[in-house]
Amino acid sequence: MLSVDKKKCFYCGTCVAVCPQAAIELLDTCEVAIDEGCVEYVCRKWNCRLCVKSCPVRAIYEV
Amino acid sequence: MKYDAAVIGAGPAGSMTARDLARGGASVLLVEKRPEIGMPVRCGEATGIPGLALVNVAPWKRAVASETKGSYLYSPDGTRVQLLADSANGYILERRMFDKQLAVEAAKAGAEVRVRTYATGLVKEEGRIVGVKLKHFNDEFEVRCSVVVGADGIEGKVGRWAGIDTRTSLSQMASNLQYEMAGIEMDNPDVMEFYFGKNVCPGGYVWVFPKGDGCANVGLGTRDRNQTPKEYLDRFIAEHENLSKGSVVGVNAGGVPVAGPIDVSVKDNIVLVGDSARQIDPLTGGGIYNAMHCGRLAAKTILKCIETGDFSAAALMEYETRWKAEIGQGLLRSLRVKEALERMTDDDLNHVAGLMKNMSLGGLDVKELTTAMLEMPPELLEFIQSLM
Ligand SMILES: Cc1cc2nc3c(=O)[nH]c(=O)nc-3n(C[C@H](O)[C@H](O)[C@H](O)COP(=O)(O)OP(=O)(O)OC[C@H]3O[C@@H](n4cnc5c(N)ncnc54)[C@H](O)[C@@H]3O)c2cc1C
Ligand code: SF4
Ligand code: SF4
Repeated sequence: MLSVDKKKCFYCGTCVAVCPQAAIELLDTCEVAIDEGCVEYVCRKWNCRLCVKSCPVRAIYEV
Repeated sequence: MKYDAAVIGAGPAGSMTARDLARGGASVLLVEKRPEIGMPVRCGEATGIPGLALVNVAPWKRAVASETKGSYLYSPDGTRVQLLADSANGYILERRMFDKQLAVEAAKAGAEVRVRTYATGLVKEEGRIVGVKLKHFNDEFEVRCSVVVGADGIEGKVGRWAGIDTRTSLSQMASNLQYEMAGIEMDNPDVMEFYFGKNVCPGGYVWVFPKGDGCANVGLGTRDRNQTPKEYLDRFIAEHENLSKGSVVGVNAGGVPVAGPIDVSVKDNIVLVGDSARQIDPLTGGGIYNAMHCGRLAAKTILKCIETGDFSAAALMEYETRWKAEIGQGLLRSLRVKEALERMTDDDLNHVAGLMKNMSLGGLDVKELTTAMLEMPPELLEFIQSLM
């Protein structure tokens, strides 16, 4: 599972722009949400983790 | 209520589209999911003065931090190339105020602006797009419109909902970090600085944009994944005493797609503008002007569609043809120059900087310049021209 460290995240959208599954959203509350379904089913399988690599501050991490 | 246009995202692209549409008499809804337009900032905030005049925007005093009159480029060995104009030709903006101003202009022109309103999907009927789904706090509702304008930036989903692939591949995404610093010193507080080199910032550069009063935006963007932009930036600052003596009073991050523009920016009842259509310059990362310019072009075409009642991709295509004609060439040139720059070694950069170091391209010595140009790789010449 992936999670976003709220203390690090800048709400910048880089991860959203590279996600092939359109599974990440910047919410109106200035928080980032990663679709759990994606993480469970797609990412486990694909293990793409493009979002992790794109993040300027490494705010996305494996839990 | 049915609108002529629903514009998603109140950045420079969305607000300009909404403003010009409203000025042309259209009924426009401009929605922005953030609670405060322009915040948080993700931008170096540099833009050209002539460009703002072209898009008919006179920035508020409080939307401009400082004026600049050129650039210093530093090669890896510290050689300085000066590209100076005689008078101010650039602004370092306060984006939080500037974006607000553009939204205010849209509102004053008659657009209905709503913040903290989140577009969550498109409304479709018999396969046709007839509106958008919105969310405001816990209220979810639908709004009808003839055209949806996706001005929703790099994180944009409007294009994807409509079946346009707007995704940027990881290899073409520069990850950026920027500090707003205070209490620093610069050689010349009217001049922007750019630092090049494999150790400074592989495949990119560090920028220092003066904001006046001992403040500056200091940032970089890189596609190197071995170290984070933060590691590069912190090291650069530690190595420059004039910067490290100051404090960081703001931090922002962001992504700059360097892939060049998307192929398709219109579909039936859909238009994409600004970063969502990747109209950002892949070399300089400059996207404010292009977003505003293309927003105006989009508004022009949509106003025509309102007259004819035809919002098909074919009718909206006029917008795409125009923006490709007006900025497309420039974007492709920047792409070529960016690739050439990436191929250059630190030695190449030092060599070229050595050829140019005694020239001030404002008060140009033609003989000196032509001698240097003869030795210069053509791509580099293009790069220098693009900065002037
Ligand atoms: C680090 C960095 C430095 C930069 N430096 C410069 C520079 O010095 N000069 C320059 O010209 N450009 C610079 N740029 C680029 C510039 O910031 C962008 O090109 C510009 O902001 C693009 O404007 P836009 O309106 O297309 O998108 P944005 O300004 O990103 O606006 C998009 C808006 O849409 C909203 N939105 C997104 N999805 C939804 C939704 N579903 N519902 C409602 N609202 C939504 C967002 O909240 C946002 O406010 C820089 C970019 C970065 C990352
Ligand atoms: S791991 Fe891949 S699919 Fe999953 S959220 Fe990240 S980028 Fe998207
Ligand atoms: S890329 Fe990182 S900092 Fe930016 S929104 Fe995603 S998690 Fe947050």
